[in-house]
Amino acid sequence: MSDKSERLFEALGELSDAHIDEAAGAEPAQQKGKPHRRRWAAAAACLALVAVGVGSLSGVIPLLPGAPGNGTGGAGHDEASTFMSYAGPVFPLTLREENDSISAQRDITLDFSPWVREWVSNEEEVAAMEGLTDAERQDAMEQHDEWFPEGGYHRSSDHILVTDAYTLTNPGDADQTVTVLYPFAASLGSLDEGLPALTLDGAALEAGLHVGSYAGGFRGVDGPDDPRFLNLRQAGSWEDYRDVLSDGSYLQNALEAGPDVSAIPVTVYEFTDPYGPARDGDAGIPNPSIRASFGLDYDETTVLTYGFHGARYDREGGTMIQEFSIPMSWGREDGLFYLLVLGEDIEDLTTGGYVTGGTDADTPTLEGCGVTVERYESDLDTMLREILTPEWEERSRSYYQDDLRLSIDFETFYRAFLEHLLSYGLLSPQTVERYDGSWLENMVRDVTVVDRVCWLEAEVTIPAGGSVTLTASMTKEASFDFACAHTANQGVKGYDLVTRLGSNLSCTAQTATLEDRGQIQIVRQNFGFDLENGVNTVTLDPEVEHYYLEVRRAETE
Amino acid sequence: MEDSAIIDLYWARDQAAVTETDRKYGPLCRSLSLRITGSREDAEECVNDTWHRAWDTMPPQRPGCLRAYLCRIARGLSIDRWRARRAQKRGEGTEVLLSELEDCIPAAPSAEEVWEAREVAAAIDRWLDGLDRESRALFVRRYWYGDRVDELAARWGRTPNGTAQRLRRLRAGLRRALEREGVIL
Repeated sequence: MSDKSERLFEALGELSDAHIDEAAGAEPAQQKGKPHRRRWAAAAACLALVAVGVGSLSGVIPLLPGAPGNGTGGAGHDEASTFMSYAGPVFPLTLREENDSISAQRDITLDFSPWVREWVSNEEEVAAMEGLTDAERQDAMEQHDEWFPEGGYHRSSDHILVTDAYTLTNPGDADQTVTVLYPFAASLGSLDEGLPALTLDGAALEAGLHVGSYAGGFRGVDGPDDPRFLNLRQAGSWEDYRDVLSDGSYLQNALEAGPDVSAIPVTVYEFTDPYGPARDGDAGIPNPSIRASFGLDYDETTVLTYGFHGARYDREGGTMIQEFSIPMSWGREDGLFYLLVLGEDIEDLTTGGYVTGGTDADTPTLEGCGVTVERYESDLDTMLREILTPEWEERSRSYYQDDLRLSIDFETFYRAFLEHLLSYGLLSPQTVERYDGSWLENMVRDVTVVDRVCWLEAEVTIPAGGSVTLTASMTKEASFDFACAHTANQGVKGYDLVTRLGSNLSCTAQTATLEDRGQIQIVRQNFGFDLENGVNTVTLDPEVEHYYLEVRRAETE
Repeated sequence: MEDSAIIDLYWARDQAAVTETDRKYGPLCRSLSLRITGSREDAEECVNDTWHRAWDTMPPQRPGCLRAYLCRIARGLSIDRWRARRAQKRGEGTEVLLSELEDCIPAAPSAEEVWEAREVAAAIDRWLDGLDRESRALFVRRYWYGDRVDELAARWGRTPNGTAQRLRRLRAGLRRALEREGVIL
């Protein structure tokens, strides 16, 4: 590609506000299916008045155990770098029930074969695409020839392959069956990339999945002294993981059943079938919108919303406004909007049409628009499942962006969402500012991307007087600094492991082997590898909790 | 909170402006930045930088459309971040966008003086104005916001292949329009 395309891309940045704003209003398609309930208010016209009832809030669950504080990371950092993007360490195997009669030898291999550059031809790329018609395949080929006129491109990765093998020995005179738990750091959106594969003596081992809660915290926009926790502070070092895993409560929580919110009653206001004049800037209708206004006592009522994208919260005045743009024919296919009211019901709900979004008092009203509002009683579990199922389906689709795509079942996703909502959201006794609005969508994304510790669980039988080898194989991302930050670690990739954190398994020995593939030069480490002198396997000291390896790509030809 | 009130907070140097901005426009700007940089960490930092830039520029600025103003800042910062990381072969989504935009480059003698970005954008604005609303949104979502083709296809209920073909026609149309206007890149 040429500098001209980059110049054109940059010039596009100067497009008019009208075009940018118009396209921003093109919301993603929402679910088509709608629940079939009796409509208590059919096609309420603009400014319809809605009656209210009364409910109560119960069953609030306290902050999850083990979550680190919201400051700036743990103390006692070793000589390893603190990278701007931290992938998390490789953790050791543990047993669900402590068992002193089982011992283990751990042998871990760090394999840099993904670093080897590989030529991928356009033909290979297109041939690997499945389900294309001849015409589509031809089109894809033309597209690739345009993108890569050299006929292909070189592909490499800064991930490594990790093989974490445990020889489990049973010196007793009876077979023993133990439940093993293999931990790994991941977000829900990256689970399929870093999911370990377990084998037992070379045969695939079926494993269940346990997902831990958020392993990080929150921070202010203006740094550690800013008390308004608006930003995520993802786990940034192995000490952050130490803080959440060290007392065992984090794992215990992950192994237990998730929260149950079915006993929390909610009053639901469901908005469907909004209609109104089409957007027409020349006619003074730049963004036809529906506003819902109502009164509430903020101390007695909690409102969760879905589908709305503008709001005003007036705690002192006891009012709230929620608004959304009337879906356009080329935008959302079927708008669905909810107010979930917990505690005392809201009062004096009115809906009205306006020529544009926002909640300005002087925005002209808009005739000829309306929305159907249905009020009914339900419970929080039912409603969240109804709202989140389409979100989960959408985020599970193959085209979804890699680090945001879900590869887990709904129940796992739902549990993670509930834990986040109850720990940090409006239903937490310690709501963080990031979630002090009412929009459930904001939390859905965070639930997908935040760092966690997850465990694979499997049963293993170790014969009397014998041994088995359990192996976890996985692709491990690198930790790194952003290149644009121009830190001393530019181009340096970090990989690390912990020797006993969170593990009750008695390891008689641990070794580490480096398969460097001629791709790296070591910048910093505490393993003791010496590539020049052929020291590629070292014995680890169990008293050293954390081992780190920091490398950069070796200069070649 | 309404846009004008948020802008008033900036002018009053009230730090709640950042809170309200993040609450209202954080998801949109994060999504935009993520598509360009290809990294959620980068996107988070770009959005933080966007709020800082907004704080630094209001006052004296009082944008007529706050959403577009913030998105414009976020996009510029994200492109800068992507450029800085290009050597690491990350942010490949933007590489693909640039490859596609090659289709739009008008033929012109290389000795001619290039147009200012603002003049080029004005020409594109004029071309966009002549499109139907759906085509306009499709083009801007793809090349301004960086939406993926398959996401756009899903949004408008079309096949990815059909959407790619349509974008190709739009690129060809833009190229002809820029050539008609004598735009030099």
